[in-house]
Amino acid sequence: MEQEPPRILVVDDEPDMCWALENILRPAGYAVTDTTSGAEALELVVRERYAVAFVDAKLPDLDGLELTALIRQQSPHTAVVLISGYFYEEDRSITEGLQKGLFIGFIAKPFDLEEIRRMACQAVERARGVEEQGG
Amino acid sequence: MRNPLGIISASAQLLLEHPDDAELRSQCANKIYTATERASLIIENLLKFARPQSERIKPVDLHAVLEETLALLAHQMALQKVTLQKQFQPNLPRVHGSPEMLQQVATNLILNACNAMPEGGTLTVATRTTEAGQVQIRFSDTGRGIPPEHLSKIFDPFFTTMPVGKGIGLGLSISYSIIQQHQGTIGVESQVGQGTTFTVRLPVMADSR
Repeated sequence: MEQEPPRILVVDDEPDMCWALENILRPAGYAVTDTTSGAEALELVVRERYAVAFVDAKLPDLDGLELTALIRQQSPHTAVVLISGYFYEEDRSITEGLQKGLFIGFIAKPFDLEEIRRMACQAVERARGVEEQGG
Repeated sequence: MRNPLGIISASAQLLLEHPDDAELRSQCANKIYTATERASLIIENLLKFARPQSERIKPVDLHAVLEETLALLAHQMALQKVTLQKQFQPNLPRVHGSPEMLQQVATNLILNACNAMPEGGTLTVATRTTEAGQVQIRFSDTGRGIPPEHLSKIFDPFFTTMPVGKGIGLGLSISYSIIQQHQGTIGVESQVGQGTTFTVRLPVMADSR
């Protein structure tokens, strides 16, 4: 029986960025859903099981870091990767967020496609590991 | 700026990876074109902002700035059950400055006041002319107050007591810098459990006296 591809949620208020991430991740074997709204993202993670969510740090309806915390609360098995055209890796919000495990990775825009694929792969493996442990 | 650059970069990389996919090629070319136009607009606005200070300085009606800021934040204040009291001195003299930068200061101080009152409270914004002939604006809240050991640090860059993701502590530092650029002063008084008052003083514009 063919295994279902891992599901990835993309949350970015730029439709063209959603398009780009979908065109990077789908050919790599993931089932991708995208939304430009933080509120819709929260509805989606409750309704469907996503291994990974790529979340933009700045969304118009909900702060990206706040959304990340809410996703982790409502869907603990979903790993979050933060993407940002605003923050940099060395910003305190990012270093503290990584340290506290709020998100498992951070990618600054513009990025290499390989960064996205590598992060997706790591996140899916981590989600599988958590699932096998009964988490 | 990094958002359109991200789209341009991703589209160009996709083009390199899939040169034979005609549909993807067309989509990527369109995305690059649109994002380049957007980036160009952002640069144009940044260049306008970077113009010499004298081109952005003008007479400022502080009441107009405050009213606009309060209107922009009205919904958020209502959500947080913050009651607004305005005590505006009639015929407040104008100041020389940048209305956009002064609005940034007002926004920062009002949002800080609201964040100090998570269960709701009262924000008082009061304006008057001081005995020394300056314009004074006070932003007072009935929030949790600032502990004495933090008072000396609150204008320091990156100092914040907010949790991760709720602010990186640059707002007051930037406000301090803006007021200094306007030849003014900004001070703070606070009592834990009672509230905080920020006082901004700015020199009156010469022909407003």
